[in-house]
Amino acid sequence: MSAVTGLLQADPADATLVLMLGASALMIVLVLVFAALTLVMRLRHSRTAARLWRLERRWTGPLMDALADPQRIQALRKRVESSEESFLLRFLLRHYRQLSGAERATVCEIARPFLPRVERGLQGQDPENRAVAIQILGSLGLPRHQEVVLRALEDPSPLVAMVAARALARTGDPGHAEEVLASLNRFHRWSRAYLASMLAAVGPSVAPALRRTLVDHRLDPWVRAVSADALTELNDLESADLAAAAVAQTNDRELLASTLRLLGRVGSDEHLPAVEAHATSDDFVIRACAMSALGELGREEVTPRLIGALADSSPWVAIHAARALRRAAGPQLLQDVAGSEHPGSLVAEQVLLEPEYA
Amino acid sequence: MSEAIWSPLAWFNYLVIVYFVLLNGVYFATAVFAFAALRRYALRMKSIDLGDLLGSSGTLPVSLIAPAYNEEATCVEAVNSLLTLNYPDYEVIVCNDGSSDGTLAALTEAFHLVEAVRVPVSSLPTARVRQTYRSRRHANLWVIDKENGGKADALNAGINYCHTPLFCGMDADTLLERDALIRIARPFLEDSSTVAAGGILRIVNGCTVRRGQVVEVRLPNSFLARIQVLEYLRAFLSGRMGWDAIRASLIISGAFGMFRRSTVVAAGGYSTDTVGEDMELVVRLHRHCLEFGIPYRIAFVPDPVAWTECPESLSVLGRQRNRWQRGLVQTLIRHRKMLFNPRYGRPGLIAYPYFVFLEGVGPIVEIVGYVAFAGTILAGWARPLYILAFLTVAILFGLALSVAAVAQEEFTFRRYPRLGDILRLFGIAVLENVGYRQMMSWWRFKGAVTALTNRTGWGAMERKGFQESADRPAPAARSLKPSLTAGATREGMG
Repeated sequence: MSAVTGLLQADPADATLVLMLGASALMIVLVLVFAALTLVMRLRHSRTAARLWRLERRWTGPLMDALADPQRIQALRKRVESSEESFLLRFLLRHYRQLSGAERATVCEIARPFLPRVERGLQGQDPENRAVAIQILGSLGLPRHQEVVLRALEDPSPLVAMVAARALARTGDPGHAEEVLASLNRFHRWSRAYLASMLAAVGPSVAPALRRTLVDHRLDPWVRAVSADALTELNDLESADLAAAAVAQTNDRELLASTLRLLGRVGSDEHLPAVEAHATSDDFVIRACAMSALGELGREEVTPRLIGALADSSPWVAIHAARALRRAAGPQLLQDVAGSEHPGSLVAEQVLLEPEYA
Repeated sequence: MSEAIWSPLAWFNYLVIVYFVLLNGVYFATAVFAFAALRRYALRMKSIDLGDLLGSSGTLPVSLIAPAYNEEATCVEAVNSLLTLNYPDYEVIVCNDGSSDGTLAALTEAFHLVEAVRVPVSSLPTARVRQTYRSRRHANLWVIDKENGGKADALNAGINYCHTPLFCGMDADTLLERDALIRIARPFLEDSSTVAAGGILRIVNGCTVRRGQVVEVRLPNSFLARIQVLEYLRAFLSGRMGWDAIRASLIISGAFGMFRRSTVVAAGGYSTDTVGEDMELVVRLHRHCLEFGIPYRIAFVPDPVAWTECPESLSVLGRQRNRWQRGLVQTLIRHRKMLFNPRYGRPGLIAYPYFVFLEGVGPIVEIVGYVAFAGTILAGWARPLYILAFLTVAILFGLALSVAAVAQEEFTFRRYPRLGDILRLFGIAVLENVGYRQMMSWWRFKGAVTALTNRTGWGAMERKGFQESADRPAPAARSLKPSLTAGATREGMG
């Protein structure tokens, strides 16, 4: 206190000088601390890397033995000390991703005794650490730890919930996929395409749940659109009528675009009127999706509309129409357009040269 | 002494001290934010399986748009490097911006280019496009040959021909790491409101490059290039990461950034009348989204790496920094409406004032400050001890920030495997304060004055080509290119 009083009573220049000297001392301490921290981290990382390398060398042989003969799992477990468990789990996780079937099951069995400690780590406050724990449990710990992973869908952190959702979707279990679907609203910020792909990766067994979601008007249209996109990836023929009904009823842009894409993929010519109703939409995205669907569903009867759309004010609509025309009527008509003075001749030429058609 | 206190010179000296305290205070704060953000990021990445993302059909298609002007020496190797990236669905669009050398011929020969129609899907104004070409060897490689219009113009032409929802703006001679695209695209998957994401630029000088990939990371031999390694670490790991932590990033490097095409088109594309088109675009994206009430996110991601060559001569470096400063000041003047405007949230209330008062005007204060300090000493108005103490604090503060940036590198990515390189970086952190910092201030001072007096001009960048291997240097593939990279200052390496 007396030092502060002294400083205040001193000549301003002297006080400034003292402050600057104090700041210099503080900076010197900071420089030394940061430099020491850097060197300590370097040493620590080097030692960890060397230790990991030694451990992996020690474990790789027994792991290969266990994969060849699951009776020899215990031999690997015996080589793991308690301080090495986290290294082992990372090692196993890396191999788990490269394996499949019975070999994956063997890796999970090796990890089994070490997972309760990981589960206890879920009590922590740090969402990133919880996400890592769920990633390990969701890969190496299913189905034994599935309750924990399912609960993680409700975790306050969206990161943890997404790691859990991905793990559950990877199991291919439709029951798990339904749980993920029920919590889809939590992932509103995620890319729709990514979520649809994650759900479709479950396989055809998830289709009934997706269909139920698609027709549930109480749900957010965004959730229904994700379901429609997943059904499109699955080529689910049974959802054609549901998609047609959604196309007729919804005004939501995302849902309409998704259901038009779905209808184009799995619909039939009886669904043409539902699609044609949107071919003159004011929204270019909807028009483009409608053109694609027309090309999938129709034949000669849609070609006049598609040729007209080659001159659409939106280049996206024109490109979709040209690709649709190629599908509906074959290359000849498109070649005729390309060789003419039609305003869509350039688009036609581009689509004719696209590798998937050339 | 009392006469001195009340003289304008003394007041100016106090202004310099306030500037110094504020500037270093902000640097220190961003470094602290960056430490916390990097720790979270490193942990977060442990729970993310990149293979899972790569295997997903839900990744968004990307176009890499690489403007090229007189890049005959390096374009084939650079494009080959771009064609080997790990990403499920991408195409490469090289925009030959009216090169007067054999850039187009080199590309045509190497990639068997043939004329092919490609329809533009937007109509950003650009110089005339002469022809579009497609590679017969790589279906995802396109070349757009256009009349010269500058980097921004070439990027706009690329955007017009971009048929994917995302595009990556880059320099034709930038080397991307194989996982760079999936890493920089991740924010777009995790948050569909993301409109732009920037990756980290690292210095390739001194590193060994094989087949377009950096296979051995080393510090450059040139002292000037080494200083820039440290600068880039400070700018990206401390600066950009820190600003991203408070959601107020104003810069994404023109050498490597990913954007949502539709938003960029709606905002009007790259500006062709500034030398800082990369920063200008990001600031405009902020304005566009905030003015139209569009939810958005502009992210910085610290691990997608793009390697770039830095200048090794003072004259080229001086021109580069002058240009960056001009770009910064031009952008700040153009969007001055954002300054302290609550409508623009954190970018307007925190980042913009920082860039205006500390980065934009800062070099002028610094240079005039050096003169004023000298005048004060010569006039006998201040004790030399006082000036010495101030300079000591200034140098130590800079040193602390530089060492902190090295610590952040060690804490996260550890790209420099040799302990000797780390120690050399510490040495550089001390030495850069003597001469280099003052030169930097002078170049930036000149850039700021030029921008404020409305004079324009292009610098030239001397490229040496990448070093093929440590024991066999590549032939000196030199090309002079116009300033293709604009950015900003200590916080914003182009």
